Amino acid sequence: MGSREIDHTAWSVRAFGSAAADVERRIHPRAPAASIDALLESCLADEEGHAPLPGVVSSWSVARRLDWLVAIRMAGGAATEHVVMTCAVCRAQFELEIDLARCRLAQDDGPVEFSVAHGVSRRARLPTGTDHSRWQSERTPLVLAATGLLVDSRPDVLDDEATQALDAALAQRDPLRELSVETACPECGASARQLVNLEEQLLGAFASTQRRLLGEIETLARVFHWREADIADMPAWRRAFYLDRVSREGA
Amino acid sequence: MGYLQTLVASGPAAARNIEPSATLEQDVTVVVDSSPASKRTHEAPSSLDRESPPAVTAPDVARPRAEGASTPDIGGVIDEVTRWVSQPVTGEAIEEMTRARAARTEPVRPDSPTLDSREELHVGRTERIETTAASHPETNAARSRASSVQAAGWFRERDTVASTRASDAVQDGTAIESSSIDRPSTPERETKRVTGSERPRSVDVRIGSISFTVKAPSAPPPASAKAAPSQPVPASRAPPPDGFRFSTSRHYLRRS
Repeated sequence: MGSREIDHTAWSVRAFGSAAADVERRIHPRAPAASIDALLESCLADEEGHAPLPGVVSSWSVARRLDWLVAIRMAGGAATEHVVMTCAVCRAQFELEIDLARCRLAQDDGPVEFSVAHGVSRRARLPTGTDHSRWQSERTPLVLAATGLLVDSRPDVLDDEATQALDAALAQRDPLRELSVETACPECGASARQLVNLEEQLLGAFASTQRRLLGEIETLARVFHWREADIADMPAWRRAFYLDRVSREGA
Repeated sequence: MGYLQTLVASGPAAARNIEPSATLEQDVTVVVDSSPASKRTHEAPSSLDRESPPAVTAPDVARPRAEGASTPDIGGVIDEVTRWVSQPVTGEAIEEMTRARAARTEPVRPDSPTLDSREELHVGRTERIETTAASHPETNAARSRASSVQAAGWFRERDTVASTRASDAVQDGTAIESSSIDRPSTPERETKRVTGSERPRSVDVRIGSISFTVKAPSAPPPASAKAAPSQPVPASRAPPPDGFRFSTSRHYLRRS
């Protein structure tokens, strides 16, 4: 990867689950890269209302892509994300609220610097959606994944120690990837520091929204025989109105 | 876990096993008789289409069943195809495969000008399957009849199972005259076994509103048809007298 073009587009964002495009591609936490591509291409629009061209969102850093996921979630009216945690001491489950607004951080897509043996400094770029997708499918060894991010001119392969140094530098630049939270168990009071996979959490919420939308489409199509795309394009309040009517008549 | 590890480990390969449809968003090209004119490209169904509920209530063929339960052995067909390819296959590919099997049950005449013509089954862009099968006017006719079996969505796979079963039964000396595979409670379901001298030249198979004919072989399958030899039909796979029953599919459990 050489120099990367800076995206100066002012993207606007809409809520997921309010357009026919939202049921075209499946959202699933187990396929994060493809799901995030689908979400961003569906819910972002440039100044003229056009969706990002294919490949644009894949070229963004994973940090920026996660930031946009948070923005889409917030556009749907969510202010907090509820995460179920398990106490490491008493195994009790409790819910944690994450303030989404505080998860939106200023994005810096510039390369990170990290030190390897003998104080030598190396530079690496942030991983992109394309990297994410390839690593998932290829199960790339961490050393090779880290080496592929290097942007300095040295052709050598990073060793384990250097890989860990790069890993720490990336985590510092993109803290939301492994969101560290301090929890206190409401049952036993034990405090612990736990990691939250915010991306997986958000994708799970979007997948749930998509399933609910498909369920509503199915109900209305079965009763009124309207087209799937027409139902999906309806404003949520109108869908809710018709579903309410169906529910009353069914009762 | 580590920053990079979360990226590499997210969306594990196990997800592909759970949902093979994730890799079906691609074209499947099937080439028959190596003739350019016969090359067709089938658009793989979208994931939404695949997940659409069936129009008719039918048993869930994708669900693993307990040993001995009555269930369509679609896994057997899928396994036969996936022995040749290393990626999930579509119902189209399975149907083409079944058609080739049905064609191999046809007699072969030495004067056939296209004897041993090749059949190629392309799945995806890189995988290639080659089988050798006898081509013959009657074979082509049978193939044409088989291709008349068109059912949408989920039922395509069931039809494939039925046609495979039927051709197996013909080869095995038994034949199904009439059956219904997906309506266990249908009262008119019936199966007739024909053996020995009663062996028919052709068998009419009916599945719901769809019917087709499977030709019985008048001679053993040609020796040249060895690229994908027909599997011997174990006793448990022969249809019992009380209905068109399928053995439990171990392949199911392996795929799920």
